[in-house]
Amino acid sequence: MIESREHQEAPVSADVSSALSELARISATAPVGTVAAELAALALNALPAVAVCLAVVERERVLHLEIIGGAPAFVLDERQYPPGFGPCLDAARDGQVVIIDDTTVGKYEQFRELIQRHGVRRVVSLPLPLPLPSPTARTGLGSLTIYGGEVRLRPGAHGDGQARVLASAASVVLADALRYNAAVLTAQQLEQAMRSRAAIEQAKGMIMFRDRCSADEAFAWLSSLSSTSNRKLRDIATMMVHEAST
Amino acid sequence: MDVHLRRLARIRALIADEPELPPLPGGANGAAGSRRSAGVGHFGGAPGSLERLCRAAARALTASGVGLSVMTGEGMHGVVAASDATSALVEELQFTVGEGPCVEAVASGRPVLASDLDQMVTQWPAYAPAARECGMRAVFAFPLQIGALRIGAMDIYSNRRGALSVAALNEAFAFAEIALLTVLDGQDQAPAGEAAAVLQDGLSARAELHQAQGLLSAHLRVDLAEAMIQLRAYAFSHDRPLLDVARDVVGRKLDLTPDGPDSDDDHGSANLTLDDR
Repeated sequence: MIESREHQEAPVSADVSSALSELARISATAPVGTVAAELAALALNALPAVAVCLAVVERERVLHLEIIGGAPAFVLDERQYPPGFGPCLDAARDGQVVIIDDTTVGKYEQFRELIQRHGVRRVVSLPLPLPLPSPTARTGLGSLTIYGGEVRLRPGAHGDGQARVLASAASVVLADALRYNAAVLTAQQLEQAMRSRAAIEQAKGMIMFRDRCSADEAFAWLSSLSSTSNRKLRDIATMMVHEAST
Repeated sequence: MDVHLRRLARIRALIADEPELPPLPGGANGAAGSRRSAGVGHFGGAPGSLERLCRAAARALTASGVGLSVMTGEGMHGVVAASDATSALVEELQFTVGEGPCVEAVASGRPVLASDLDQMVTQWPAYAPAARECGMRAVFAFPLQIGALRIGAMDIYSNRRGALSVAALNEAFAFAEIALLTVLDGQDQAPAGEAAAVLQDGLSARAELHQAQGLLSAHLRVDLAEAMIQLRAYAFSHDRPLLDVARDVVGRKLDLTPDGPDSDDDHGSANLTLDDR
């Protein structure tokens, strides 16, 4: 059952308020898994929930799945469910709110039975949107799913509103962490590429001395060795250079 | 936050408006053309965009010049772009002598604001006088960083003493941020194992330096680190740009072997030679 947008009237609860200020303490330079775990813990603490699931996705692939709270059996069951199925992942992938409760039929009916075994009466999965809309990205950052023990009498009761506020704020923190971690990876690739390039030129220099040839001829020698030995040119150069550095 | 985003947008427009010029002398052995990336990234990852950034920054900050250097871990470093030839030279100077505003900005993760180079002689005994000789009176270095990650720095040069205004500081920070994003974005688009297209001109300019390093290492039978030390020592003591020295070594016009015609043994200067180790 997909919920339509409702008008938010209730003020932010004290628990959520305090969680929002706690968000500032989460370091965006920590690994993404750590950030996801901290966000999930904050949400579990601030919202009426038996358990919380924070999913981080990238191009339809699940990067991290943090499930926190609830009985250990519940957590285990959630993980054993067929991959890709489940409100966590659907909300993340489709960018739509997913709500599962006693009235749910169809796609999530099986899921409803599973969670009720563990005293969960209602599941709300909120997508975590990208802070700035992107024409190229098809999904948001992930989703925040709240497994609640209480029954809501009508859809869009203000409890969901509190979760939405937290989800919005969590999106920003998550986006920062993803961006930072991606930048670290990129910088490592840059360093590696520069090192390779330097090694290729250094190897050429060594060959230029050995064979009394030009830079182009040295490169041709390396290329030829690369083809015949079926190794990447930069790997050959790196090895030559490494041997010369002892 | 809004102000910042608008500033970034305005600066990107400034950079886009900056005319394309051929690479600086000593650059790209024709490599720039063959390495032009197929797609243009979000920040215009075409080769030449970092030069345009430097020129736009020099214009916006009314500086004498702007230089950009990449310094990754393990000492991989070098000038990748500059607004003009003099700035490129002064930028390169830091790597010849191993000290200077960019080096320090990357090491500390904080901007280095030297409004009077004459006051920096104790801190940069080799760099400060040399930069002064090139006409620079003040230099302001901004690290290219995100969190604890630093990949280089942007240097702003002035031929007059004096601090940067608050407005200029804010502009400089924004230019540095865009430089960082341009490099990272460009790297994301590079084929596996290759450096970003925006860096290729700068890397090609350094190709001869690394060739000279390899050649000298084989010739002198020393390791690569030692070979680089020798090149830098020669460049510094003969007051020549490092890249020029490298070009001569590669062109076999310079022989740095001890007892060779160009060795420093008979100059009596305090350089490293094989015998001094």
